[in-house]
Amino acid sequence: MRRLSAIMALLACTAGAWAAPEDMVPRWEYVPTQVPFTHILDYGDIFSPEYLAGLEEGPPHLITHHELTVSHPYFGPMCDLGAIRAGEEEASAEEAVAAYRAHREQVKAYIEAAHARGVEVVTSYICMMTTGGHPDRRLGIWRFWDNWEAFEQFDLPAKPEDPITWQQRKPDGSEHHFYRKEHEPYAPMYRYSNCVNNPNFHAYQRWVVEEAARAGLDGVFVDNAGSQRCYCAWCRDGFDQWLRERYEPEEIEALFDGDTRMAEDLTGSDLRAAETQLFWQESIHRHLERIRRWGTEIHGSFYIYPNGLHRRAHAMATRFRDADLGMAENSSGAFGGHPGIARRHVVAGLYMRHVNQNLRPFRYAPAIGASCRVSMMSYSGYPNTDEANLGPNENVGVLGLAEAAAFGGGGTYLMYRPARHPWMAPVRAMMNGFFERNADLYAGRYPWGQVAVFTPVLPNYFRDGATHQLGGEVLEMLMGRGLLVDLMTEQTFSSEALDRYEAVVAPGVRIMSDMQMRALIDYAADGGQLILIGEDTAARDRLGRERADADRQPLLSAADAVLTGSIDELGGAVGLPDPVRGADSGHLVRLAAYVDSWDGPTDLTVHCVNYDVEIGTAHDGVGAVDDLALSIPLPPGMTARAATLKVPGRQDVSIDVEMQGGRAEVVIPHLEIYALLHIT
Amino acid sequence: MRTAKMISALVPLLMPWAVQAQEQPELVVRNPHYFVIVGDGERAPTVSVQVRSFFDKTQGLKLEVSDPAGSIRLNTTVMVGEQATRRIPGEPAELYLASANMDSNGIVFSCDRPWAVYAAGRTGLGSNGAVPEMYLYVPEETEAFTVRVSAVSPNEGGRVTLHHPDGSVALVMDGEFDTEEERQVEVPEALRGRAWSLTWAEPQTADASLQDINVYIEGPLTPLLWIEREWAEAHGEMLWERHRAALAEEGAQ
Repeated sequence: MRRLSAIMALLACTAGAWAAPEDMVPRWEYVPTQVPFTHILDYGDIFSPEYLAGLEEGPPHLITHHELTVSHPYFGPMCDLGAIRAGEEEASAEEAVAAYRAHREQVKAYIEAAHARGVEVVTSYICMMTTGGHPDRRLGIWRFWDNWEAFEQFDLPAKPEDPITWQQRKPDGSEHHFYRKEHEPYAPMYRYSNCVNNPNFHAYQRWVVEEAARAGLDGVFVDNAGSQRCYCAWCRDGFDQWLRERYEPEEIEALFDGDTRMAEDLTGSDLRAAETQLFWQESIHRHLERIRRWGTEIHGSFYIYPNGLHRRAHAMATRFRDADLGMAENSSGAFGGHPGIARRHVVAGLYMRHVNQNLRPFRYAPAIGASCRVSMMSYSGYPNTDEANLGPNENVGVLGLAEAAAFGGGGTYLMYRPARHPWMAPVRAMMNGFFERNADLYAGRYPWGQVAVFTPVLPNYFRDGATHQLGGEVLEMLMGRGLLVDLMTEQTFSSEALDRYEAVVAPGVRIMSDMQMRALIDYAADGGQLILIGEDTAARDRLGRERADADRQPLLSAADAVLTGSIDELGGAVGLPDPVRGADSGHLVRLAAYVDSWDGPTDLTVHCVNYDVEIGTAHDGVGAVDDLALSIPLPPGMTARAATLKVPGRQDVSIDVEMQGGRAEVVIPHLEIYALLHIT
Repeated sequence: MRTAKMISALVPLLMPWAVQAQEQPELVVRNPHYFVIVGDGERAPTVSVQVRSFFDKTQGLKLEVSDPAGSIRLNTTVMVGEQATRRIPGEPAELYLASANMDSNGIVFSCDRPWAVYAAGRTGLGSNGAVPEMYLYVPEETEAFTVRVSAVSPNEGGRVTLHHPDGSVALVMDGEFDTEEERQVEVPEALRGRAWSLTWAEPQTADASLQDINVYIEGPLTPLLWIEREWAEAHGEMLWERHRAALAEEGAQ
């Protein structure tokens, strides 16, 4: 059934060639896996010699600081918030310029020193949309604007219009603020949200970025890179153009009543609201590429690392698709976000034992196949932190990096404030060595699963989160049963791609294009196991229009099962492929596999990740698994001749492999947290 | 490879406890909640959930039921608008903890064994609409406890009345509760070791309606609200002993 195809023809479209409404979200040539890496983010005091010395053991591939942004990203280079709050006079323009120049030199020296210690990519903080100040008291960004000429020696552009004109606007023209205007950390100044389509804001942010590049930074971390909800004149004009590029005049007439205004009511699930959301996504995407271009013109290349994947990993398919890395700031949940086993008392001596696993965001990366990978920033509980029981430890650090390597096709587990966690440096050293030694087994590979879970990203922009949520739940459940499971989005969806899978699950996909429906019907007709979740599957087309029951009935009839109610019916009455891992042991082991090519694969890598790792600085338990038997389905025509087991910090070992019915049978003698199995 | 196509649907099961519940308004809780189920150690309980959508939110219910050892016995996701009835797998246990996470959507929970809802933590008991009378076991050693009420949405509030075991009124909290309010309740010695109750009604002192309201119970007691007085009386002390011991253990750590 698994018919290999030479070319995924539908993926040949380039990002710029999606005027036809068939592709409501962009598509591009698939970007295969990348080498995972280590990463530190630290907003503490970094300019001491001790801090730099701390980078010598296990230097991170990527480091991100706040203090390396030469100008304050929110308030500009002339603001002294402490003095303002104390009622004291701020430094004069001359003093501010001198301080700026000194800081600039300090930043340059730090970057050079970090590079000398082996850090590959040094980045600093900027915010996609925030400035702070007080327009009436001429504080913060306004003080800088008033003294623009004083900084002309630092290659300032022509003075833009007053910063108050940079603001995002509500439909009625009033200011739109993310967070609150009276944001406490800014008091007595205000927090403002600027529009990424406003050329006056561009002038300021371009200077901030160019100064970063001139100081030697390799790129920037772009915070709040989802916070665009603006109806300013630039956006309104941009939206008009956006629609006219995507739709023919007669379509605009038919679908939008000839009206190209942005949707003001975003609570609906109509096409105008979806297009408004997609326009903002594209606005952010273009702005991120603008930042890259500004930095590249000075630095030669420029790393773009936006924040905004938390609960929205699908943003890798839209606004972050050309970024290098996206942060998933995993701040929600009583169990925190660090991977492993969290145990928490609820009531009356009853504990919830929760498996924290970041499968969803990581699996989206190879499903989308963009350049962007996931940086997982985990919290130790939220809003209340509990480091002892939910914080990271050495084993959690290994597990975090293993998740990125195994399931993300690259990316990283973010190590926060390393000075507080002495274990981080040796873990980085070990994993750096492992990733470097096996780089060819991490880079340029393609997911190889038994089951695909079809989770298109488009419904999210129609305010239909069921696909995203159910897809994640199905993914976790099936991977928990020892199956190799891939997500599949519009970017990787095609008849050829479907044919690689023994089973395809479409969970709560109410919005489905005619092409997708046809491909799924054909897949089932060709013998594929198709499982739909939700009797209202394909109830709407890609433009959000209701689809007649008669038109979607062929899909429901073609499916092997149409589940309603709950997803635990999967694997019960509904047949699924035999899992790779048996039910007898290693029930917290999750697996993912990759091939060197979808077109005639010659080898297979299987990643084994054991989540039986206690979370918390007060804990260090690992439930290692002995004699883990795996039965691995191989691509058609491939025969396993040898298997090599690779474990971080250990020598590679050969293990026995036997072929049985197209499957490679192996036994991993001992699995602690992570192992990479290479089958040739 | 194909066998006959199948369409499976969950048939709503009319359970005796569901019929009983008709006499009182059903309890709809929004946002994540915990429920405690008291088993008999001989027969596995059966839980039933209905998932209600609010403001067109599509988030389904992630339901996990674990036993006293923390092992997850049941783990499923129920789609919004749907109902599911499941017997808890595995050897019957004396107690279970059910975690229901439906984000800002709501659920109606029921079980064929005594059960209570956890009324502390981030949401307390976060109910929507009318609420049945709920029972609180106040242990022998409880001299006082606290009731907190909040209803952050505009024009929503309620009148929450705490009743002594004999039905007399111990406390009334009435208003819109945009700002959280908290009251200390003194427990007369004669009324300890018994089941008190809470009722909800439309507010009388504010131009608001009983919609989304959060009630928190805090202090030296088990913050569980039971849907039957008999259940609170029968199991309250046992759960308090467990709760007290667990808190002492946590404190020691």
